[in-house]
Amino acid sequence: MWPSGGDLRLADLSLGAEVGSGGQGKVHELLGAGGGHVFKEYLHPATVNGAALKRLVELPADLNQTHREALLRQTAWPLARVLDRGHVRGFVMRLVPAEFWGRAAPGPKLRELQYLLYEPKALWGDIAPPDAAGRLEIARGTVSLFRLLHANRLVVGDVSMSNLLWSPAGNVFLLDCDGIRETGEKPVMAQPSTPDWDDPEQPSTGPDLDTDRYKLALLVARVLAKASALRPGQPVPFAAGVPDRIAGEVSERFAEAARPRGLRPDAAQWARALDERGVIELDPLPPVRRPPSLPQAPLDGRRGQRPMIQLPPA
Amino acid sequence: MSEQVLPFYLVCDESWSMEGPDGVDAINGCLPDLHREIGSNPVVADKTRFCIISFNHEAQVLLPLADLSELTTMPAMSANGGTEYGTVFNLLRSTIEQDVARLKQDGHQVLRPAVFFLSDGQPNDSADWHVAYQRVIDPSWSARPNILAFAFNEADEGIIKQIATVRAFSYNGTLKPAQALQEFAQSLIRSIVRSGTSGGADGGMTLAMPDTVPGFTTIPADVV
Ligand SMILES: Nc1ncnc2c1ncn2[C@@H]1O[C@H](COP(=O)(O)OP(=O)(O)OP(=O)(O)O)[C@@H](O)[C@H]1O
Repeated sequence: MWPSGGDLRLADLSLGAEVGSGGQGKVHELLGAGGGHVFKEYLHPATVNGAALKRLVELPADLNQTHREALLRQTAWPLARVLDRGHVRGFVMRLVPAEFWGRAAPGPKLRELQYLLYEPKALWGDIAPPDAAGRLEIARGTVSLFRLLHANRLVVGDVSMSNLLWSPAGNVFLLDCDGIRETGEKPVMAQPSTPDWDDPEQPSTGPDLDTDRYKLALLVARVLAKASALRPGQPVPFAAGVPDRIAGEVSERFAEAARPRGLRPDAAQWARALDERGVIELDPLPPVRRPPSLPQAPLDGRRGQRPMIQLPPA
Repeated sequence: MSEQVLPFYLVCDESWSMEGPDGVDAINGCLPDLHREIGSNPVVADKTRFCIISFNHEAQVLLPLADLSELTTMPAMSANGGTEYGTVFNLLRSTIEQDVARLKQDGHQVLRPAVFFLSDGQPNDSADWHVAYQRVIDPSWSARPNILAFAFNEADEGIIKQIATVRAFSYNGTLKPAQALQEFAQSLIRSIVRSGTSGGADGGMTLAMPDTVPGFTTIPADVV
């Protein structure tokens, strides 16, 4: 397996074509030993928190095996730092797997979440947004990934229409993982904000789990409604084919995302709302306050896993 | 439909000296790229609009302000005639006025428009264009655009600096003219894409401008 642990030296990498660039860096394909991986080179390496990046690289080793495998499968996790004469210049991560690439009019394009939020155009090429069943699958996959991240106290921060990818088979893949931080820790770099994806109640100290929950609500509702700017408080105009029970629960959870911080639905609640098998309505419980700081039961990564109530035969 | 929109205006010189592969042809060749790149990016297409105004001694709106993802054809520029700035600035002011009014009527919040102005020559109306220009940058006009100005070939760097309100670029001969014009077009594409996807401090959109453009030297705009 490449990389095999520890920092890499820039001089040892063989760089191929540039595959993308953003406000913070350029992403180059790697050749030779690093094939199947890319190097993200920071534009302003002096502003990088090298210790935070090291921590992210080492983090998967601390997870249980199921979580580690799920994390590495579904994210472009930073796998090794890249140094040049002792200074951090960037990091390597997996090249986005083939299923998350489409062929649009200008050439290969990532299947970004944004394609689920608008009416399709001819220029999108083979990036054909799925029907309601496919949208539900993508929403469930995303929720399950957030459950995993949040169970490990990892905050995504910049959840947006371009950082989450989807495949026609319904899988999801998270990009820009160098923006992820552990709760209470500093990120590798100050994170940009994305228009229409801001949490109006984000604390001045930066995004936290509660911010992620708000953005997860935006993501689920927008994907199911094919709407780019929907906000809690507005009705969710579901795409045709979303089952009534799910539509009803998603509407309720989405409305709850407008509640004050600490009272927004968490990923586990979203998983229940989206579960095909339905739920048994019980008497309302008092709202969960700040569940992230409570110890959480380990997840096994499978969707829909939850305590089941055994009912006596009728 | 997005609430916030940022209109971009490509204002391009098509006087006779812009003829051929080292002139308008190079820019015409990039317009399909611009259409494909922006039109295939749903958020960017939703949040930005694009208009082409071309000028020689006359000026015309070649492509009325549009959502690029909706277009199936684009008009090409063709070079002839002299160079006058007065007419194009008059047209720019009235076009922006109408466009902004229409976008607002449609329920949009309109961000300050961005103008990419490219010229390769000296204006023949050197005495008169300033009056029209002042109306474009009039501080009391709320829709006055941010102007990035590019001096190509023979254009007077001093004049381009006066026209730019935020940044000016001067062709420096390090690239062949056709390549430099492609870089100009690429910088416009990148600016539109970045503006549509990256936020400012308040969570809204902001104009993302190129710092450098290959083939051009960045010069600070005159402070007015
Ligand atoms: N693992 C990857 N495989 C392939 N392409 C990638 C990968 N990671 C990023 N890219 C491409 O590179 C571009 C820039 O990457 P990234 O978003 O990480 O940079 P950034 O500077 O943080 O951007 P932004 O300003 O959007 O935050 C992405 O839009 C994407 O097209």
